[in-house]
Amino acid sequence: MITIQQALERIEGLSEREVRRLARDRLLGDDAAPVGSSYTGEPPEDLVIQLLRSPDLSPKTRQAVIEAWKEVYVLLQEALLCPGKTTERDWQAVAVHLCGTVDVASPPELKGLVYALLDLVLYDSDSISPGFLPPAVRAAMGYDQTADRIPMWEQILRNHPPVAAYAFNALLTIVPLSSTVEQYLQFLWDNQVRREWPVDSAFLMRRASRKHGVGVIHRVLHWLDKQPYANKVIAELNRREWSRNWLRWSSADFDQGTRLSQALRRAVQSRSFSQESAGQLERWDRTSFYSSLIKEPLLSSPATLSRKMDLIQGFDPASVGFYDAGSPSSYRPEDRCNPPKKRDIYTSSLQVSPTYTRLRPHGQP
Amino acid sequence: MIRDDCLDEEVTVEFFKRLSRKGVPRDARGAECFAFDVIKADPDVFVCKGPFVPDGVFVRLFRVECISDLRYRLPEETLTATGVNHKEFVDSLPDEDLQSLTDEYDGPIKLGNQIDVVWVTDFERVEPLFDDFAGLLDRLGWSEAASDMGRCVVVAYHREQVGRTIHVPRSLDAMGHPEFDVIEDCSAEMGMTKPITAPREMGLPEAVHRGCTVVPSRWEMRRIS
Repeated sequence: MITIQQALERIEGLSEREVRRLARDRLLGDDAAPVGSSYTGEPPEDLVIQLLRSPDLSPKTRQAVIEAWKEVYVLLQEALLCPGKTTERDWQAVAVHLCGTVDVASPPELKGLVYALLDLVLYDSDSISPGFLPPAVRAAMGYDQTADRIPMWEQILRNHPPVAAYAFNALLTIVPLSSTVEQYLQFLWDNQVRREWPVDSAFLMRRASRKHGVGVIHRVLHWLDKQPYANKVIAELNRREWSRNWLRWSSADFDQGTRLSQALRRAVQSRSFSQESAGQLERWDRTSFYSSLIKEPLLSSPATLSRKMDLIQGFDPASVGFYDAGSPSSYRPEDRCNPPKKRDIYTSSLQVSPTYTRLRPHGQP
Repeated sequence: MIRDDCLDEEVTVEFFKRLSRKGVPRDARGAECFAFDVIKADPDVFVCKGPFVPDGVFVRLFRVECISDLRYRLPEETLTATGVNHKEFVDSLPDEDLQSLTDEYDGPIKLGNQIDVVWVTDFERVEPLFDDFAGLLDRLGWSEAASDMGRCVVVAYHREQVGRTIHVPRSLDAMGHPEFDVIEDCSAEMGMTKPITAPREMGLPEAVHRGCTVVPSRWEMRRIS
């Protein structure tokens, strides 16, 4: 992609009127000359995207770019609603340029129009080619989502298979309950396996686990284990190493992982560590912790967790209810002076028998 | 346009004939846009017209891609299945999601710029240079290194995947490609990249072919530093 600097250099010396015309031509695809290097594919809208992302663009020039976008939007809308009356051109490509701009730059001035376009594409779907839907959905999901949009995204998730994964990712940013997210995942898995919907549910499940913890994966797999198509799910999970590892987990691993991540999150919230430790924990939490839970079989997690505990100096398990979550009787206030060995914290739940039966790969106990 | 004495006369005459129909450009940038429009409108006539690159070299072809460009390199169905939007490709895609779309992805990739040209180098020549990846990018003249959170994607594919002939690049292929130097030797068997900081003679073999869809033999994310 071209840089913001290259985009600014391209409009250097141009009047607002000329900038508006240039932006309009780029969005229509009439001007596709590279601004960066033709080594890359550089779609024409990249120039408009980078201008709108630039903090150094003057308000008047920005307004000129926004007006150009609106001008092309009106032309597109006319073409969609009255196909015979407008100039012959590839309007789907124009929609890709328009929506691509909003998808990456998300200018607040255009939010209303993008949702209007999405409504048009969704509700006039009989007369509008389905190719318009993915760019319109991507453009809308580029904006910060609010709870009042949940019904719309749920409707897209349930009724539009080609963009269901986008809807799921949008919902993931607004839906507070992991149980609701699990329902979406069950729905998507079901349709992926039984109706061949074009979604990568394992990929989405991993995304969900980053926000809601690995328990989401456990509970959805637990549900899938009971479905008549469990073998197809195994085949899908076996395709990739990270999802193959899920098949080796036991329910105890998941419970423990979930408990620990919840406890650590509470600890950070309750500020029971020093600022520095909390900072370290947060960084680890985002990067190493979840990915280590996901990438490694969780049976090896006690060592990982011990290392983590070592990192956090001054960690007081009682303050975060960590023991309560595991075994209620295992911690007493007087133990603060004589805490149990770290290994003891984890071993009890690791002895629980695995829950999965059918989701286990062949040949594994 | 840079003077290119090795271009076929017929192609040159046709190019200027069509360019003159565009009228008088307002400035240098306008002239460049006109020239680009002429080629974009009919790449069959104007691009990949340099001599063929012989069979013994460029057996495997190599390119580097920006992460932000994956939004149009990957097929639409891959994007829709994962729900990754373009904004994520530009500034926030986590490594593990990116790796699913690169290291674990073994499907087709679309190649080609706006005038349907793909710039490649000879994989056999670059593979030994992978240990110093930043140095390799410099020798390739790859100027996008600072972008995309310090990551890029390397692509290698077999020549037969292209389904088109491989050519010595000429100036019309390089429209809008500032890193290109015209190859003055008309009988040269390949072009040469223009390093950014390394000496000119450390450039690597360079060729072009028309846009196509390939299934790469190598397609993986690399950290630049």
